[in-house]
Amino acid sequence: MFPPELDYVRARSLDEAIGVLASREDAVPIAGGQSLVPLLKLRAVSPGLLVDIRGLKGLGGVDVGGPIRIGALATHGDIEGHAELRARCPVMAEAASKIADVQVRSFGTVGGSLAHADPLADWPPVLMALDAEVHVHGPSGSRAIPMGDFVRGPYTTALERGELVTGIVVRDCPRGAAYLKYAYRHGDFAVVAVAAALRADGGHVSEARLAAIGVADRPLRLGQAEARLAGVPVSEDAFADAAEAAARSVSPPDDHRASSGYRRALLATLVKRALRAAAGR
Amino acid sequence: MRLVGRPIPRVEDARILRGRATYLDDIEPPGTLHAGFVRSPYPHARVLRVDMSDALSDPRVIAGYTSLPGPPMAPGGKVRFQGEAVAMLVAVDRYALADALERVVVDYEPLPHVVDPAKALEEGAPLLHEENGSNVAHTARYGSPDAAGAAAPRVLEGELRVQRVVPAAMEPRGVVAAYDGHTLTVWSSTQVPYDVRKEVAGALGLPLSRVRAVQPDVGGAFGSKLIVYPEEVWVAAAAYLLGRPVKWVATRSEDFRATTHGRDMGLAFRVGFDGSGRVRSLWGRITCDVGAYHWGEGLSDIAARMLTGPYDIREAGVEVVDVYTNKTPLGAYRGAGRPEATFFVERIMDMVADELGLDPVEVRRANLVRGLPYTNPFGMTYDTGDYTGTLEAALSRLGYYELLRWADEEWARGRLVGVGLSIYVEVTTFGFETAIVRAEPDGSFTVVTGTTPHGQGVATGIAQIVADELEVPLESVRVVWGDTALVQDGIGTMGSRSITAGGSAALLAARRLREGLKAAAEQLLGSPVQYSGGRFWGPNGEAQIGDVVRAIYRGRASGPLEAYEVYNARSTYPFGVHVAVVEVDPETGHVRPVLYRSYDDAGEIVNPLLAEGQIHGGVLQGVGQALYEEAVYDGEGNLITANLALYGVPTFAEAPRYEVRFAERPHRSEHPTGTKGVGEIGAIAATPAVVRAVEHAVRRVRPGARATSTPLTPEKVWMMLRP
Ligand SMILES: Cc1cc2nc3c(=O)[nH]c(=O)nc-3n(C[C@H](O)[C@H](O)[C@H](O)COP(=O)(O)OP(=O)(O)OC[C@H]3O[C@@H](n4cnc5c(N)ncnc54)[C@H](O)[C@@H]3O)c2cc1C
Repeated sequence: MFPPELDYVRARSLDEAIGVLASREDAVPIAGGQSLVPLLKLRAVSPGLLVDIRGLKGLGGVDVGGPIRIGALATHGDIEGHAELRARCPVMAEAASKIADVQVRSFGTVGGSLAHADPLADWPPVLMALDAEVHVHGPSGSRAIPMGDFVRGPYTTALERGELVTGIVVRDCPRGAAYLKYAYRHGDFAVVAVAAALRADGGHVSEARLAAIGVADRPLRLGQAEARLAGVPVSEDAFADAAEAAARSVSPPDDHRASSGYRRALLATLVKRALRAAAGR
Repeated sequence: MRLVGRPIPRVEDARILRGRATYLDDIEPPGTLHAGFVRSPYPHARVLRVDMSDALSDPRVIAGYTSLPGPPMAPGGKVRFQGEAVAMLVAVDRYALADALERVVVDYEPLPHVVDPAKALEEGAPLLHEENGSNVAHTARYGSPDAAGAAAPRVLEGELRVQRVVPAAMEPRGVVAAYDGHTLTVWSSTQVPYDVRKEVAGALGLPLSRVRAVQPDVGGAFGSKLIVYPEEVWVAAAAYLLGRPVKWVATRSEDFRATTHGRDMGLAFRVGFDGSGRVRSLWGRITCDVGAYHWGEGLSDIAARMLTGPYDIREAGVEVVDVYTNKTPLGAYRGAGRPEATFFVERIMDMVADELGLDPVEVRRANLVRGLPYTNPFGMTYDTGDYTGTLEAALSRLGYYELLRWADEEWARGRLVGVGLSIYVEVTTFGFETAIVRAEPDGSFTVVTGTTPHGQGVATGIAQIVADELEVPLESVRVVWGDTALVQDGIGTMGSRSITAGGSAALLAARRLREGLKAAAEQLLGSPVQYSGGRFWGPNGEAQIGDVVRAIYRGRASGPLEAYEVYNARSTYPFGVHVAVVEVDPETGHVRPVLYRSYDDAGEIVNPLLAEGQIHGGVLQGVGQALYEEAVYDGEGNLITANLALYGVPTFAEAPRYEVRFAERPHRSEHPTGTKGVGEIGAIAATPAVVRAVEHAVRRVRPGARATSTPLTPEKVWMMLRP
């Protein structure tokens, strides 16, 4: 890697990191480096200062004692391999296992993924379907941002200057949740992927949350499909109906990886499959 | 016990797998400077001005060039593909270099460009090489011109296309050169050190004796390193002019644009046949998109001349048109013309079968060449084999009909799987090759091969051959290569030729050395002697081979200490039958390669383990061609699949389960090794087999579906599956 000259500092505390980031316009945090390093390599970005936050205490770890709390520095691999989390919220382990490969999973962090906001990142749709909160800390203190409000566009988030993602909180992880990712090759970024969280009461859908990537320039909550599921009997017909509504509600991008029409068809297939998988858990 | 024929693990493994190999980037003589290139962002442009003054004002930048001895940069003042070099900088380190490259200002006048070969042939298309008068780089005709209009009971016409791919060797290209005032040494990640030496010496007006070219360990090439690239000459020239070592290693993105691409051929065909599937005539026109420069000469000609494949089609004619477009130049890629020919003819055989509602195997059987040697309509003489017999053996060994029945059963259970079969004959081996076998003072032997292996395990295979010939243990034979200080001339590893041309040269050298040592032993022992297992003996006593060698080294006997052999190898023709099984997701169009079985008659198999490895790797590249890979240019002439994040090379996770077999009673070639070569088989046979397997699956849902171009991306398969 031969980026333009840059400074590097290893932050010793969260406050120090935030102080440096807020004071220097050209400073950026680096966590696992799995998105930032490729960009530096291509000279697509040229920060003046890298603030390494990996050593920060208290930003890692997975805690399933009360609500599920995952530190920003938890790697995809930490999440994938956490036995208690897998028992409490299997969809998170499922999603983690579908990110890239072992090397990337053992460096890349959930906080970095959220902050980077690649339109095809896997965490946002999953965390949207789980109604998670993103916890951030910055020069003006801490706040919690609903996942649905966090991503504002491609590579754009609600983070303000100097703010760091500190963790995510999932208060409600239904057992009936699934993440269906369609990629061309094992470990590729998704073409289209769908996260579904489903609750049923007496054979009827009591709650359905759906989110997708690959059908817009950002992760989308599939509100119209969710609406079709409200209160209906859990059935293949209902899933097909929701899938159709989802497909109708989007106008996916058209690029060399996939046409708009194909993405739409994939979305319908994946919504159906995700609901089926969620209902089966 | 003979070593040839045994599955001996690569002797190279210990170094390669433990990270002890020396690749190009590991070489850095003291004081090395780093070279890099300013490359055109435009597919076609006039270069009006190159201003390096800002870059050169940085004291870390040593030199900048817009011309150097060797090929011209931006010939005729133009760049013709995105990524073509317009200037070269030399700096003290790679950071300084990368900064400086961004500070070179180039004024381009963008010119109209063309990336579609059909458009490039149209009247009024932008011309890449004005002096050429058109974008036609080369034309040729083979076989009978009457084939186009030949009468036949049934006729089918169509078009087929094999996409452009990036060879994507794990190690990108790179060069290091150092001049010590006497010798210019050039290390290059290449398949052709002899050619590098000649080109560099020629460009600088140096005698060959003052230029040494070294091929260090090379992390893959697949044909993409078998030409001498301009960068190799320019870097060497800079080192010579500056009197300091200079190094250039391509970045991955740079390598994607500046290293040749492969395939990119289309075929328009007309096939005449009768109701039994016997093909009466085949006419074809191959259009090959050679990119901006005609570096890949002969690729379409080979495709044309192998177009009838293993089938006896007497009335056949092919026209070839190579077309310039504003893309990276095309070059050899594992198979180089033969995968294209095989894809074309195997598609045609399947289509004829489908037209007639016949078993594709039936149609192939009806057309297979009987009786070898056989000269095809384009003058290629297939040497040895029994194609019909091998086909029958293959069908049973591969369980082809069982797989078809299994696919039916799976479909009845709702699972969509497809089975595809392909047959190929390929041409391997050409030209001379060199070997030196040298007796070392302790009685061990060093073999210098003129071949240039880069991962194949050729050193192991040649050691087996030589150890057998000398009747010494494998450990007594060491094979080295890739340095013109060791061997002055050769051709190199390409075209599946190494074990046949290089192995035969080594075998003959070993035989001659052994005869020479025998004569020396007779002097020493004063009687006629016999030899076996490293020992000479006669009525007066015996001598170990090492004793005889030492006697020669010390002047107590006269005889040769080494033998230099040049072997001229005529082409030979492996033949085989491959079967691919895929599973198709009917809703997404996703194709998963499940199983791959092969049965090859490739002559003598020196090392079944390494031969099997060659099939695995080649097959996966053929799978990539069939399903995943494509070098995509957008309308602006940008290579948008510009690195490994954007270009889908299949990985281990996409690989099918392999079941590789070789013919139990192979047909030997005429060469001393009896081998025919295995390096390209997989890449040749796999694509048509996989494509047919997908088509076979899809046709259950859409009976008329036809696959005519690769890659069969999920979206394409999904389209085929739709009503
Ligand atoms: C080969 C490869 C394949 C991949 N495949 C996938 C895939 O299939 N799915 C997928 O979702 N991702 C994939 N990724 C991306 C991967 O998941 C990254 O790990 C993740 O996007 C970024 O996490 P990181 O810790 O590496 O962040 P870094 O690269 O260190 O940082 C990324 C960005 O986030 C900022 N940042 C980092 N941490 C914080 C924080 N705590 N607060 C605020 N800003 C922060 C950085 O400044 C930078 O702008 C892949 C990456 C590679 C290299």
